[in-house]
Amino acid sequence: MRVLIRVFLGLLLAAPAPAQQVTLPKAKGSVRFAVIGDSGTGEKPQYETADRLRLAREQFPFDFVLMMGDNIYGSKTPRDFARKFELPYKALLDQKVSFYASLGNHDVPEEQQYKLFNMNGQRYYSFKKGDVRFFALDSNYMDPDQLKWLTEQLQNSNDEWKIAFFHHPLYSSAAAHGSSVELRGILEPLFQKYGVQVVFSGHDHVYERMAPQKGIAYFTEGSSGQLRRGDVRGAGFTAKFFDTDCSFMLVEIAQNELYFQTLSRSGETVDAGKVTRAEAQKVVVPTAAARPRHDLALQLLQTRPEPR
Amino acid sequence: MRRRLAAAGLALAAAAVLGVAAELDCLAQSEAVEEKGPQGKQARFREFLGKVHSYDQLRTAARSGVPNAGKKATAEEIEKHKTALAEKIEEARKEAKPGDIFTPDSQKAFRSAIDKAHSGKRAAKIDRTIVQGEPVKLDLYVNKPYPEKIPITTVPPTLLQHFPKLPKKIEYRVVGNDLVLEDAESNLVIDIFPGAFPNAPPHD
Repeated sequence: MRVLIRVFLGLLLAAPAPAQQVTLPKAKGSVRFAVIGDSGTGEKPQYETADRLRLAREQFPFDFVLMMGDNIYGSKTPRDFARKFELPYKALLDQKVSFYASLGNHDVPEEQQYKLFNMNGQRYYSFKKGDVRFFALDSNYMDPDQLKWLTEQLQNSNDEWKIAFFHHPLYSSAAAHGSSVELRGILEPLFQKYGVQVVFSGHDHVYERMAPQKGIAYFTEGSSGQLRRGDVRGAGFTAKFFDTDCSFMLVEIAQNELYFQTLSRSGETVDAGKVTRAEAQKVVVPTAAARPRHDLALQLLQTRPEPR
Repeated sequence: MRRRLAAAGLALAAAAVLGVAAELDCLAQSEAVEEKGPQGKQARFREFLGKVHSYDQLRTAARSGVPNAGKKATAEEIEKHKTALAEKIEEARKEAKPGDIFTPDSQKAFRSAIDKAHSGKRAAKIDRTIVQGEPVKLDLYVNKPYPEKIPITTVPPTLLQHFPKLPKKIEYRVVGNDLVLEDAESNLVIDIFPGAFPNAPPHD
């Protein structure tokens, strides 16, 4: 009998935890995607987080994934591309999910030619899905040419939603790196002037959502493979964070609303809410799906040292 | 024999490229006019830009016969292209040495640009960008690959605004206290300006 109980318990512990309910609205015709960052380690946490992403797609069929950079850590042989990208996301790739990459400091420029990253040989590029225009930037090398390109692209965009994504966060309270202040001074005025509503970044190996800054919603998702446990220090701009496990984001844009839900490697919802277009500054609203224990994390913010 | 012929071909191409240096100077000059007049940024870096364009021409010549990876390549195709291109460039530039492109005059121009950028309140922001980019101290060698396992350091945008514009897929890197010119297509170090950043923030 004892043996049977042990076997039963063993099976119970070995089985992956069931995915938590995805609470996004799944509105007809909405733009649905996932966000991962700092993923390409080829290690177990990446594989487990990728598997959780696969499970989430069963409930929330997203069409594409934005990558915040550090897509391939370490060596970059064809075997590494397989081990650090193609294999962990095989199920999604097989289901024709597209990945759109930005470059991190651990990436190499030739990744822009890698067909599965959909960069079409460009360090920075834009693409459109429904009423949403995405701008993928190379924050490793923000030269005048890229800024000129971005300005022109933003000027010419009449899209309802404008979303930028790149590696280095303009706001971050993580101890390891923190806010990219110089880059912020250059990019944020452009985002403000031309109506970018949402910015996703990585680099710091945590999840952090900022209270809207100058009307723009900022998210850091840099823990889809890497993790710096307990790295978030919290700052006045921090609205929510999660730094105790790997995570990824699910996002849905339906007309004037952008809904987000952030899930951990174990399938727990660690943050959720929505951003309303045109009034993003006022209405980043956490939903009930975000569990109370992370409100505790918010309280912890006050006890942690000031960020750099 | 085939390799020698190829090397000879590249050497000829390189010679031809050097032969049009004057033409490239004109190009650099016209860019200078476009920038801020003859005293502008491009003009101050005329010699440097001429040499960079020469390198770019050499690379163009080296691309012939190298398997093209294209814009939607597999990891294998990217690897083949990069390796084959690097081999040809290394062969064509086997005499390359530090200072070939960052000549003493060019170094003066860069030093002045760095001092100008790295001043006042901007200095702290530039240093912070370098630190946040996970700075490294490496022993790099001209005409040899930049190690892929090492992160590429973030180049502060303010510096890039003060540096002359480079051809596509040639990029600046800040490595330790040095300014490095890198071929982002072949992953080779084109040249190094040692000690360009004497007060660079601490690195790993």
